[in-house]
Amino acid sequence: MTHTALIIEDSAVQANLIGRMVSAQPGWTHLHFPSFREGYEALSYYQVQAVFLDVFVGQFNAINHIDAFRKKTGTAPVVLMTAGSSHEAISDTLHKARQARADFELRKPFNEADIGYIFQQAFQAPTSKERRKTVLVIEDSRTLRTFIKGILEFSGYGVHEAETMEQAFKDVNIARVDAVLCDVFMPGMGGLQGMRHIKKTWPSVPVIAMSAGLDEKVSETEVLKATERLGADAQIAKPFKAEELLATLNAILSSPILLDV
Amino acid sequence: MSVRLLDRADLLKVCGGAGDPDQLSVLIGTGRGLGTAGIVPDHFGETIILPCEGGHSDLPARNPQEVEIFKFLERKYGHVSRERAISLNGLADIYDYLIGFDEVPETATTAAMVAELASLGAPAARDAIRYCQTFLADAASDAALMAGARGGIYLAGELMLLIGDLIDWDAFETRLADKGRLQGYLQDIPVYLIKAPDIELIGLTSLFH
Repeated sequence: MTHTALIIEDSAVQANLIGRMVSAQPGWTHLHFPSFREGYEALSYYQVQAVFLDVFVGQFNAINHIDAFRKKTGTAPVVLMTAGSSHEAISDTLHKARQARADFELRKPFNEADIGYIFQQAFQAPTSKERRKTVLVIEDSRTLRTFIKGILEFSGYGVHEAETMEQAFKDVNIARVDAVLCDVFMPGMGGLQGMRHIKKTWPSVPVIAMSAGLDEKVSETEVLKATERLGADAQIAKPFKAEELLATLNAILSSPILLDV
Repeated sequence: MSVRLLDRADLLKVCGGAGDPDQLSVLIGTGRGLGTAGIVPDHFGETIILPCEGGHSDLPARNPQEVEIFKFLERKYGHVSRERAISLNGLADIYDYLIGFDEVPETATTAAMVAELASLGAPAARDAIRYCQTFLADAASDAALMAGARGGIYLAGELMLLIGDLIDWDAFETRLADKGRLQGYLQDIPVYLIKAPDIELIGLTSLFH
């Protein structure tokens, strides 16, 4: 079966290049429109399996249109392409893209392999329901990370690990994980700022805070209360047993995800 | 009252010159709030303590970043006294502001958490301590100038015990002496960090000497 990608891009030259890169992927073809309106209307006639939006098309910003396209295309991943603009740094644009919950962000210029990687990530399982849930574990203690990884993998979860918040932000696409399990006191920016950043940037990704407190100075209850105030969805006091961790994770993952309608 | 009873081991000179031991000193105590006192030698071997309310004086802001912190504290509390920034709560508030936590009215961050994060290298926690240290330097120099405290400046209290080791004393001294023509006057005043816990109790024992 042939898959079709919809490309909205106002530069004809760039659209041509991107179209060729998409169509070079096995089993893929593409449709191109130079404006959001035309692309959106085309979705009444065509079924597409992926949407590539240029961030700035004329004077319009694609970030405002992501939800509309998503409603019309269902499960097709939305890929936002950006080279920044004279008004905005590229990092700001990418930040907004994450808030608008684009599935992938692509910095221009990109190549065929980048598109291949996105398709591989997006379509590695037949349906999203069958996709193995993944948890990002951010914890500086290697022993504890190994312990948690063991529990989670044994229970069927995929696990990404990071020793610091900085490493997690650099190495893991947080928009694609199902939950984040995060320590509070660790080298680098630490869990309070890190969890705050995750909840601000990817509000729909659930975060579980874990802490043992600080010796005599601060109890784990106080630390976990602070994480609750900054938006963490659940808390677990260290040390914990495997069952406690799994119960907390199950409770978080079975709550309905609020979609903007 | 406790200052003259402290052992040398409990007093750490952190910056400044020799000063004039016969002149008045000021004490700045930081904990849940900010307390100030004048310490006046009566030249008969006794000390007169002048309790003051310097913690309620206005917090100065001297650059755009400090102005932003001031505005945040003003939104939260109304009048921004020095103790809104130079206290355990003040340190937690500044950290909350720096990590973009300013729209949440009641956070549960504590100064001990900020100090721990700073000791682990968290940039925002280190910045929060740097701002606290800057505001404290302003409080110390203003108190010394207004009282003519050439005897010394003593820094004490729970906040100091928590963040004393994390303070950049060179930067503290630079800010403290940054008063234009009176730079030399301030550079000569010795600044001591009181490392003894429970100095209130030590002070009380002085009543029985």
